[in-house]
Amino acid sequence: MIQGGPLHFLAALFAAFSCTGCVDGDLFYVRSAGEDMPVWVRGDTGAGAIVVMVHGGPGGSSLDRTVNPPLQRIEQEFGVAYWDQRAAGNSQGDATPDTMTAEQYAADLDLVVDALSVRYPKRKIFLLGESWGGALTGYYLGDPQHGKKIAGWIDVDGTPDEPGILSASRTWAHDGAAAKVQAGDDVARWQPVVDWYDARPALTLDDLPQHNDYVNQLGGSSRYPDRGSSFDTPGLFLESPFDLLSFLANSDYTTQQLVLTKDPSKSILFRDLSGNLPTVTVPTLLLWGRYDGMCPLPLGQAIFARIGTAPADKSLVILEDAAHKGIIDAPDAVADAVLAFVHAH
Amino acid sequence: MSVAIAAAIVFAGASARAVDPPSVTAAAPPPPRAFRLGIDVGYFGDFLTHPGAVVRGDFVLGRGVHRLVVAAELGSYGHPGDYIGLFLGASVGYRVASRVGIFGEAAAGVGWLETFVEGDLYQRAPDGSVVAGRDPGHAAFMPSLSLAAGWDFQRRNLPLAIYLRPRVFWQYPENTQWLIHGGVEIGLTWWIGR
Repeated sequence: MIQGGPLHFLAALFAAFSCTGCVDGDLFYVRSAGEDMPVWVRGDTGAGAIVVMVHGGPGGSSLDRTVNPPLQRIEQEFGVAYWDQRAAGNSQGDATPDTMTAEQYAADLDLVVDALSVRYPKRKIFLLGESWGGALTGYYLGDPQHGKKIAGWIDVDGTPDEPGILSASRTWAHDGAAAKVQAGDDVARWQPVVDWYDARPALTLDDLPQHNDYVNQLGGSSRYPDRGSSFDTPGLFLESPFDLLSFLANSDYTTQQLVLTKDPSKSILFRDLSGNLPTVTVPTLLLWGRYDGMCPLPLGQAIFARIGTAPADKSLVILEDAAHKGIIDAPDAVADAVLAFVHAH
Repeated sequence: MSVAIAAAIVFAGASARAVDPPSVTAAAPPPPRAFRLGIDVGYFGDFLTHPGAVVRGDFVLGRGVHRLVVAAELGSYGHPGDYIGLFLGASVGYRVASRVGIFGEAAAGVGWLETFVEGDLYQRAPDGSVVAGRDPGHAAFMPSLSLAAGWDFQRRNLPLAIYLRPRVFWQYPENTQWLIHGGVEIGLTWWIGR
């Protein structure tokens, strides 16, 4: 049992303006391997199901997803638990570099699931992973013991086949630029892009910034970049607990520890987390952007083929007007599909 | 009679003159001390909008234009739904004061920041179950830099001053990093004694 002491009382007394009740919904924390991670539960928690939002990045945030229309629609019918992973978003504490591993992330997620089961007994728990969150949830569900706790897996544009992302994304960008050259579309702009990829049959971590820029230029990140991000919504800063500076510091730290590592062989991008996909048997909904250039569609099709879920319980929905950010590009299609899936299971 | 009265007045006057110097000396206020003590009470906002409060004791050395300020403070602020911070610190500052009471100050400090997540905290028990409780707190080192501007009303015979004090401070370690904060404090100083 964790006990509050006199210091806690003094702090609460001093910061009399601060209060948990000022925040809509139910916010609690989980502590795992030195890190305290927020779980913000909103929506209709009495409806019998809770959808756990597992954000991307690594180093993104789920709290900032509370302002996105698809999640707000899901909240109208079910509970949604927004979890910030270790060293991400509002998480705080002491996430040392040795804890920044896929195994620890999966253990953290398992604690979130168990804490939700204690706090909200008899609710079905669904996982909704976006991008890296899709990779993490897929990896987590590869353990059959974890699968027993979960009623369904929703994956939006993320695969645990991390090495496959780089090669598939490179192919997508190269072929996209080559198609523009072939069509005579601004050849002076796109031919150097083709040449750049031709000179790099396999991408390295040093190539990532340029590669990501090309994918963005080709529309592979978002079909609607003018829709902006969650950060354009003032309510995120004024009415939610989201902490921008903590988010920025955590995001940078996680990127350095998990992605752009000093030792490239330790980057999560070169670690295949998909080995246990055949043992995933929970009902699964894969949502994939037709124009996803970060994690292209063939990777989603591969998950669909590899998981052990019965054919009747798995589906791959292609978001025809979306790239990698399906939640931003196709809000209605995402909300419709998720709600139908949760209702069905 | 009149001579006697006049003599008495003269005597009294002489007597008064004779005793005046000591009585004038006794009524004069003692020279002001070379330092002043003040108590600050202020609103403290981490990034302005995350509210809190601070209490500080100021030891101001010097009465002229250039002054040295040594202070100790206790304060707290809250990020609703995020955490509550409790801090204890000390600082040294340089203050420039004008004749009309307006002053400016720059200071550097060190402190201790204890943060508590807001809400229940779940963790695994040794047997693998999940238990809930409250956060006993995270300690962090808290260096700070601040600027201040204010108006001292002591020349108007009010033992008060008002001030505005923006500051930056750091929280270390926070996920092994130095996490920077911006804070603004607005408050009132009550001068103790002269």
